[in-house]
Amino acid sequence: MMKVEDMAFSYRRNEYLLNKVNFEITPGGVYGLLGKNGSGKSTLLYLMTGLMFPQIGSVTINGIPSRKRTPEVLSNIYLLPEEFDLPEVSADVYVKNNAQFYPRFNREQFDNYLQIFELPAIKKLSQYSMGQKKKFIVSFALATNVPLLFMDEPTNGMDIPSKSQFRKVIALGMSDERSIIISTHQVRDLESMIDRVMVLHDNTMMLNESVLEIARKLEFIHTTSKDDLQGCIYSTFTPNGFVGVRPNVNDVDTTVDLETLFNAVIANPLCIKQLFV
Amino acid sequence: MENQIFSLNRFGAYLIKYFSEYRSLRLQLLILTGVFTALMCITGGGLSFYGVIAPAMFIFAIVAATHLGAMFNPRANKIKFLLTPVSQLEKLLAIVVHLYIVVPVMFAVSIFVAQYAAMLLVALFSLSLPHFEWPYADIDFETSALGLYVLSYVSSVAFYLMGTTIFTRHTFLKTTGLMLILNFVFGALMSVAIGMHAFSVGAFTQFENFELVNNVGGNFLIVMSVVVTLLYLGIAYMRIAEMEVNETKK
Repeated sequence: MMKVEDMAFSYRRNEYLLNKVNFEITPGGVYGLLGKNGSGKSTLLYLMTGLMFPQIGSVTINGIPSRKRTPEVLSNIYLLPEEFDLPEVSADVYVKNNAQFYPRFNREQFDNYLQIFELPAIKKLSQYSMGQKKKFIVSFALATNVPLLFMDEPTNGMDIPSKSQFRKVIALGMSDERSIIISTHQVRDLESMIDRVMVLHDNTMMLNESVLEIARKLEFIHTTSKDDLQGCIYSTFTPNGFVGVRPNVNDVDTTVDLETLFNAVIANPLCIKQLFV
Repeated sequence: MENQIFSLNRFGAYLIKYFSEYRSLRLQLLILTGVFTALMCITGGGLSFYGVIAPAMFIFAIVAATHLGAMFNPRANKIKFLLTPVSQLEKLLAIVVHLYIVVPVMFAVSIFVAQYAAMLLVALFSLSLPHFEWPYADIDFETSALGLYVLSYVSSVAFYLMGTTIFTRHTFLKTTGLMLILNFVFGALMSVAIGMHAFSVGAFTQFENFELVNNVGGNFLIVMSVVVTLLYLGIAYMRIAEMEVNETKK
């Protein structure tokens, strides 16, 4: 569905923010795009959606370069940016004005998502608070049923109950025909929700693997004894004891701890790369 | 598959979205009507088209063209604009419809309403019967200079629209500066080409310069005006097509 091939991008000459990036996004799955601040997560989303153009390589959606921004390509993607603004119109007018560009838009689903988010009925969208606006636009984005949905820090500005509502609507909005790419630095918000982890580090895609494969190849340890951390490629002390990650040589079945995994990739990228070649 | 360059249905849907979400259109109409009503009350109903209405519309359209830069700044608006699933041509055409059709219609409507509002207000304050007249009866208007005004309006607005797509900050000032430089260069070239007559800054876009028009020839002016308007709109189209969201970082 989406193919990124040998892509490189820089804001300044010869200083690549992203270099030799290769990956594919296939239908069906929630992708978690992780990275430190300034690692290029938002830039990568912009490059994928055709809002920016790579200096080297290509980004194609169903074989069409995303930079062309043809109506066909645009009606198959939706980007929910970190910052956005809603017009001073009612929810109905907004839906009427915008839904017509997305052939698979489903009004029933949209109303259902609004209900889950417990959004009150208002006269104009501008009357919503920032968090409520975010819930509204997340509902609209999911109801478009586009095959490629990109979300940039979608949980920013949401309170704690809203984050669990968010997980619920994402689960409801998923299907085999669509992929949702969520960029965030709040890894806890993605736990138990994503199918695939992408980590941007050192100007490239350091890890791009399914959660199942990660669980197969890595063992995540939560312990109170430091002695249990032998062979860890990354470990740290937490208020609850120690956490660590090591190659899963004994075929132990553990739950992927995204925060520990992310820290391991940052701390020991070579080891992670060798494990997932 | 639907045409990817232009589809009437898609364009119609985009026009509805464009004007429905354009915040200040109704407010602008209201203010224009109020201003014209006040002017008509003061002047007793008569307004000069070339003295008041035409310059006002000219300035209004240029400011509106510059104000469209709000679609490209801040970044959230730019993302919304660039990712709306319509073609680049349809996006540009919606702006063209706004500046070339909606703005003149807004002026026509506001003057129409203002004429009768002023008539009623004058009658109310003078405690006399309203003096009914045909719409636009008191507008002082000559058809001979209309063509030149239209050409001037169309090319200047296209220029400011092009400027809006090029300059994201201080759009009005930068576009006006560029216009002055180009007019200076064009004026110099014209005066050299003609070999005589005025060294005319702004000769091309100033509709008052009848002497030059007569000397150079109306047809040449029309052709040149159409050519440069298409050139400006073409540049605006290419800028929209090649626009990136984080250009300021480069």
